[in-house]
Amino acid sequence: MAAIDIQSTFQALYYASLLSILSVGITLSYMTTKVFNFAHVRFAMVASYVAATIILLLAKAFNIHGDFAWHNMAGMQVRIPLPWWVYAVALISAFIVGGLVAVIQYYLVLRPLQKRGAGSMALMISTLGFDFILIAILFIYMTLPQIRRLTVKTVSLVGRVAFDSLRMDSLDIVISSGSVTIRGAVILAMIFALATIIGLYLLLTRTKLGVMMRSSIENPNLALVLGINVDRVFAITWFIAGAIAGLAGYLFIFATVYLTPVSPTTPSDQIIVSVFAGSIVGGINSVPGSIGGGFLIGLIEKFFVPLLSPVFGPGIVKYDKVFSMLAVALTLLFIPEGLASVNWKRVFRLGGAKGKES
Amino acid sequence: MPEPMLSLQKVNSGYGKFHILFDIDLEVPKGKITVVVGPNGAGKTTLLNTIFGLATIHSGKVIYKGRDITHVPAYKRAKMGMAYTLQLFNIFSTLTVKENLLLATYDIPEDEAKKRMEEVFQLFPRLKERLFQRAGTLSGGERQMLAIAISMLRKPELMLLDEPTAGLAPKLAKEVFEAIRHLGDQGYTIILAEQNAKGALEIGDEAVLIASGRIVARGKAQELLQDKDLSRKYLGLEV
Ligand SMILES: Nc1ncnc2c1ncn2[C@@H]1O[C@H](COP(=O)(O)OP(=O)(O)OP(=O)(O)O)[C@@H](O)[C@H]1O
Ligand SMILES: [Mg+2]
Repeated sequence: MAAIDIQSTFQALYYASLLSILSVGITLSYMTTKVFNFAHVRFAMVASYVAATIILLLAKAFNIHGDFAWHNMAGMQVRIPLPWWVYAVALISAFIVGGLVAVIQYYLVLRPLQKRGAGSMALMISTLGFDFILIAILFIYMTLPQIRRLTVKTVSLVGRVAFDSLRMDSLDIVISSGSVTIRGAVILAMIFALATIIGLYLLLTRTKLGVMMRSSIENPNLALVLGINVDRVFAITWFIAGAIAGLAGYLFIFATVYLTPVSPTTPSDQIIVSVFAGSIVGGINSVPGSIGGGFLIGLIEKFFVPLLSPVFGPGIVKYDKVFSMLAVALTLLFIPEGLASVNWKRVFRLGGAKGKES
Repeated sequence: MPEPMLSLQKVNSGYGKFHILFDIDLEVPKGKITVVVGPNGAGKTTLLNTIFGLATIHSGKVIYKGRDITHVPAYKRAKMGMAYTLQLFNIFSTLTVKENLLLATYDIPEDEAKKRMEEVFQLFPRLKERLFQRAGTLSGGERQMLAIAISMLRKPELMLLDEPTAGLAPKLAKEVFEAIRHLGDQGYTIILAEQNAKGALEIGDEAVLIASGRIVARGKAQELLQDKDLSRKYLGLEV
């Protein structure tokens, strides 16, 4: 089957990991404020721009002219275009900026509206409004003369720069072995997804903050009565959700051909629907559920749908989102609380029992 | 007269725009059990919410230990020595009994927390047997015990209890009332809101009767219990 080579499998895993780390943020913020945040993926975009700018600034300041480093490791060739610390600084800033934008939305938009008694519809529309504001800010940012000059000056470094978009995919780490080439961002996405799962699990179950988060989510009034500053706990939760989106933003820089504030091909506009789907299919009130749901939706769109092309023709891949929406519809019909609400032990036991009988 | 633990001065309060309580004047003496009775929807819960900062205060003042706390947020009141057992959803049902108890003591040093837990287990030994059970699976009575235990662990100077006997069998309700009286004898200052007016008034010291958001009677708990007119009109008691 031509549809599944190593390259496209990795692509699918990359996409699935990306969706799962974005879905978990949607779920975390939903659990605290009970609102679907339409601006969530734009946090990632903002983080991308900041991280990209930082890379350009560092490249300029330290006169890094894309002297690529090459390593040979166990028959593999590894190309690392930038010193590792440049990547690290960019990553940390993406993480922090994503979190800060989320906190700003929480304190400046959602909290005041909630205090005035806004319903869930009003809150949801407000997240769209916040998204538009972020888009506008990104447009302004990209057309600032200083930023334009910065991007033009480093043109040799970054490959190509359009007026309002960035292209930095050539700065990604590349690992190649024989005919197989794998991008750093692809591997990093899986590492981020795994780190998110483990990190959140430890945070929520092993730390005081985690128990405070869970208790404030379940019963804010009771948490308040016990002296927990629920507002602050929620703000921290939003920070974490935004920071995780920032990780996705960091991946966008290298994995996306162009970064643009808004366009049909910009990651945030393309995948927000899939991210919501992941969050819903996994179970909107479950953190582990959202990680699994995001991953599943990613695999459906980029792995299973291409498998259908021998039957339906290659055009089928254009309709990948239809299958995500189908998954959402089926979930809402049969298991409205999502995959997380399914008693998996029982399902497996039943399955096992049946297996023995036959 | 000694300074009251808590006093409300001409308080008007409610939720957002909704105005529920009207011109409430109330003094809660130290070391006494003050019982709040009244029919359903009278505003008992709202009164406790107002005291703890969970309602909107439109006008008037709340004074606690001589300090104006009208605009102090709820979580800070908890740190000032107030505890509140809510009428509904008064435990974290997705957490275990142990996690519930730990949350109640999260801001208290560990040894002290352990000591307090032992005290609580003496009063409610059943909780100790169910430490690792999810609180949502406790029986109604066990839930109320856990809810009261959570407040007790905080060693509050002022303890608000909202219908701690709701839904309990008469025998269990009696046990809970006895436990509250016991706390009162230990010197806790308690405000107890109850549907079960008779049981509450029997163990209370002071009492107020609320109807339609106003205080319509106040006095010693025993006197209110004896007042045939009031009892029949508002509390459905035959004396
Ligand atoms: N969040 C809220 N928003 C608007 N109105 C509310 C809210 N909570 C309660 N009320 C109204 O306030 C009034 C007083 O309610 P409250 O809960 O204080 O009564 P209660 O005396 O505790 O009654 P019960 O004995 O049934 O518990 C009721 O009419 C109720 O509908
Ligand atoms: Mg009530």
